Amino acid sequence: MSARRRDLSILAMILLATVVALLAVFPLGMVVYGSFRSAAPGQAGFFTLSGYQAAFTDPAIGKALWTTFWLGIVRSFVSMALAVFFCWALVRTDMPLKGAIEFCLWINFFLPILPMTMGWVLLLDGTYGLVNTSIMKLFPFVTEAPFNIHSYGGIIWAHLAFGVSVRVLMLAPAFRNMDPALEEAGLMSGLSNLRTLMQVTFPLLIPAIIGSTLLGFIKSLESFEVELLLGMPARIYVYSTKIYDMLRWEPPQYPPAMALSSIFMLFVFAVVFMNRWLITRRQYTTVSGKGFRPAPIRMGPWRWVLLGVCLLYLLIFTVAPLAVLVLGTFMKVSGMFNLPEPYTLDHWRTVLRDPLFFRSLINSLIMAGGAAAVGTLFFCLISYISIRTKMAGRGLLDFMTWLPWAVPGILLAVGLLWAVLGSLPILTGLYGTLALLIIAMIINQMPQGVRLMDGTMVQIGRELEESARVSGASWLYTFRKVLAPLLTPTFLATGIIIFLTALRDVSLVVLLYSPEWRVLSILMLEHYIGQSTEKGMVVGLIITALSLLMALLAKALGMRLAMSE
Amino acid sequence: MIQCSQLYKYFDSDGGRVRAVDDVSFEVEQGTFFTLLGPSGCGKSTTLRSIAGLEEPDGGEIRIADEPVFSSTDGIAVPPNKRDIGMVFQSYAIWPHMTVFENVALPLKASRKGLSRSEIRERVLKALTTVQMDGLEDRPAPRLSGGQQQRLALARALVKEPKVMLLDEPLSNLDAKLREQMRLELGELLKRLDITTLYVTHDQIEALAMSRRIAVMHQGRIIQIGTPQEIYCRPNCKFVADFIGQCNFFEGEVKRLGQEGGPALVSTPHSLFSCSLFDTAKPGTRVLVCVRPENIRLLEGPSHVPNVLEGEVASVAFLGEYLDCLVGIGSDEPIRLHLNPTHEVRRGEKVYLHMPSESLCAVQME
Repeated sequence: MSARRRDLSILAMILLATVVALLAVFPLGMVVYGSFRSAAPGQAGFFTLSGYQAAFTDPAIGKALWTTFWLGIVRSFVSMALAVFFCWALVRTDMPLKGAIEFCLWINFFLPILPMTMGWVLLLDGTYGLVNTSIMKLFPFVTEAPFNIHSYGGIIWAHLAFGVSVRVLMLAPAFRNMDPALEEAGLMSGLSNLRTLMQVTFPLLIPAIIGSTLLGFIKSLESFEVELLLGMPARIYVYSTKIYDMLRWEPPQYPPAMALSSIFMLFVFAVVFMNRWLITRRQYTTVSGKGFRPAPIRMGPWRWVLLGVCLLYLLIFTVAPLAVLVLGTFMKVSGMFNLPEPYTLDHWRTVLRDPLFFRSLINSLIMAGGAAAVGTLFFCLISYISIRTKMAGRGLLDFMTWLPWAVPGILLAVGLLWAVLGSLPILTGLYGTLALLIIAMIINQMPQGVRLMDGTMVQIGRELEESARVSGASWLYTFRKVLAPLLTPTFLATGIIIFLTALRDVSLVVLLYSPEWRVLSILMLEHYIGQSTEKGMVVGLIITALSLLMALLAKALGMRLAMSE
Repeated sequence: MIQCSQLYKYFDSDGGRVRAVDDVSFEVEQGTFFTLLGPSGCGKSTTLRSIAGLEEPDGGEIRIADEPVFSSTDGIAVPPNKRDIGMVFQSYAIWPHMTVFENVALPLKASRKGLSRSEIRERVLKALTTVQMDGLEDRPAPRLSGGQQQRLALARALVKEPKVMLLDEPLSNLDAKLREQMRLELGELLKRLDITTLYVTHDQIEALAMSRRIAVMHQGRIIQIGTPQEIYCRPNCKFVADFIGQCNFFEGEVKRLGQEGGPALVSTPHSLFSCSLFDTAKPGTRVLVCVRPENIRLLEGPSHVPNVLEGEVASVAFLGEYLDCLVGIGSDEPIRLHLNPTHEVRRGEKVYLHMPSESLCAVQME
C-alpha cells in the first residue's frame, strides 16, 4: 500500500466510522440529552431534572418497569421450555413428518405478530371471543367467560408462537451439533432412554439453553405492539407503551418519557453486558464438529403422541388465529356470528378501493425495499472492513454496530425524534419523511445484518480473494467476480430479513411517521384502534400475506435462516 | 529473478511486537527452484506473501526481474495484481462458483490485455493440458477431487506465463500417496517449464526432493541457505540438523583442528570423534557432534579407533524399511540408529557402534 492509498483508506475509515457513529451512537446520546430537557425536541427549554423526578415519584412508571421485566421473564421461560421440547422432538427422535413440522415452525417466524394478535382477540376476547362464547354455549353451567385476552396472561399467550419459533431456530443447531457419542456412552453405561435424556442430553445443552434464554429475555423487552393492543384497554402498561402513552398526551409529557427511556436503556445495557460476560465464560465442550448425524432415538408408539402434540400446538397457535382472522375480515362485525347475515365483502371492497391504502402500500414497499437495498450494501461494507482489512479503528466500528442490538424500537424512535428535531436545524427536514423511516430501519437491523454478513465473510476464505489479486485482478474486479457472487445468498437473506422487519414494524414508525407518509402497519393500527377493526384486520391480513410470500421466496432461494432473533 | 534484502515484518501480539520476518535476505536465480523451509510460524509464509504483495513488509526491498516491487526507503509498493507472478495457495483457493475453465480464464480476463475470446480459450486449454486437466473444463469447480483442485490451481497460476511462481505449501492438503505423486509431477513440470519457483513448505522431504536451493528459516530469520546436500549433510547449527531428518548429538570440545581439509578431533565424554568442523572453531571450542541414525554401523567387536561407542540395545522396532534401534550409552539420552531390517539385534544385547568420520559434522553449541 503506497502512502497515498493509505491516506485514502484512513479517510474512508473515518468517513464510515462517522456515519456509523451518527446512526448508532448519536440517537442514543440524544435520548440521554433529551431526558435532561424541559421541553419537546426543537422547542425552547432548559436543563432540568424534573423528568427524573417525575419518573421516580410516579408509581405508574415503576409499575410499568416491573411489569416489563416479569412479563419478559415468564415469556422467556415458557417459550424456552416449549422450544427445547420441539428441538428435541425434531432433532433427536424418530417422530414422523419432522420436515413438515419444522417448516411450519419456520413459517411461524414470518407471521407478523400484530395481525396474529387480532386473531387472538377474536378467539379469546372477554365478551365476544369465539372460544368463550362457544364454551358458554356448550356448558351452560359456565356463566362467566373463562378467558380474557386483555390480561397479563393474554399478553404472554399472544407472544408464544413467535417466541417459540425464534428459539427453535436458535437452539436447533446446538442440538444438531451435539456429539452423539456422549449420549451413546450414557446408553452403554446402562441408562435408559429417558434417563439419558435427563442426565446427559439436557445437562450438556444447558449452556446453550441459558444463553438463548437470556438473549430471548433481552429481546422480549423490546415488544410493543402486542402490549399496545392487549394491554392498554386493560390499563396494563409496559415501559414501551407507557412512553408511547406519555407522548400521546396533549401536551406530550416529554421529560418523564425521556427519563424513563434513559433509565430503561441503562437497564438494557446492563443486562446485555451481563449476558456477554456469561457467554464469554461459557464452555463449548459439548459441541463437536463431527460430520455424522446421530441416529434418532426410537420412540415406538410414543412418536405418534409426539406428532399429536406438535400438530395440536400448530393447530392452536398458528391455524386457529389465522383462520378466524381470515374469517373476521369477511364479517359485518367480526366475531358476531349471531347476526342474521353475518358475512360481507364490504371491508375488502372499501380497503381495496381506498386510495390511502395504495399510497400506504407504495410507501411501505419503498421504505422496506429502500432499507433492504441500502442496508445490505452498507452492512456488507462494514463487515468487509472489520473482517477483511487490518485498518485501525475497525474494532471500534464493529463495537458501534453492536450498540443498537438491545435498543428497543420505541427508544430508538424517541432518540431519532430528538436527533432530528432537537439537534441541528439542517436535520429537521428529515422529520416525517420515508428517508427517516429507512434510516431507522437500517439502524434497527444493523447488528443482525452485519453479523449475518460477517458469518459469510469469514467462511469465504481470504485466499479466494488473494488468488484473484495475484492473478492480476484489481480490487474492484475481484469484488465483482469473486466476492459478490459468493456473497449473493447472504445479500438476499439479509435483504429479505430487513424487508420483512421493516414491513411489519410498528414500534419504530409509530413515533416517526407523518400523516402524508403513512405506511401499511400504521394504517392497520389506525383502522384497528380507530373506527373499523375489520378494516384493520384486512390490512393486517395483507401484511401477513406479503410476509408469507417473502418467506416462500426465501425458501425457494434455499435460504438458511441462522438467526439470533 | 527474485531479490529480497533486509526484509522486516512485525506483528502485534499479546506479548508485544513479534518479528515475524527478521532481516531476511536472499536471491533466487532465473530458473531456480528455491525453497523456504521451516516449522510453522517461522515467517516463511509471511516472506512469500510479502513477495506476492499480499503483505506489506515494515522494511526492506523486494525486486522481481530487477524491477523493485517493494521498497520501504523509496516508498514503493506495487499492488499484487501489478506483479508478474503466479501463485498456488495452500487451500488452492479455487473459486467455487466458477467452472474449471472460468477459474483458469480469470487471470487472462482480469489483466485486460485485450485478448480475444479465442486467444483466451486457446491459452486456457493449453494450461489445462499442461497439468493434464484437458477435457474437464466445463466441470464445476467444487466437483473436483483434491488432486484435481491442486492441478487446477497450478494451471491458473501458469496461464499468464508469469516470470515467477510462488507456491505456499501446495501439497499439504493431500493424502500421503497423492502427495508423493504430485510432488514428482510438480517438480517435473516446473523443471520442464524452466520457471523461477519460490516454494514454501514445512516438509523436509518435499524440500530435499524438489529444490535446487533451500533456505531454512527459524523465528523469522534465515538460518542456512544451501543445496539440499549441504543442508542435510553439513548443517550449520543444531536447529537445522534437528529439523531436517533425525539426529543424535554429542556434546564435546575441539581437541585438534583438521589439517589440509582432513577431519578434526573432538573429545566427548563417551569417545573421541574425528569429524568435519565449521570455520570459526578453535581448539577448546564447545561443539555438538551430529550423527544421523542411518550413518551408524555395527562392529563385530570392540575397537580402539575413534568414532566407536559401546552400548546396550534398549529397544528395537521393526519399521519395514529399517530397524529403529535405541542404544543406551550410560547416563545420556539413548542413541537412535537405523539398521538394515535383516539385522538381528535383541534388547539387552551389547553392541559397538561405528560412525564413519566422513558422515559426521560438528556444529556450534548454543
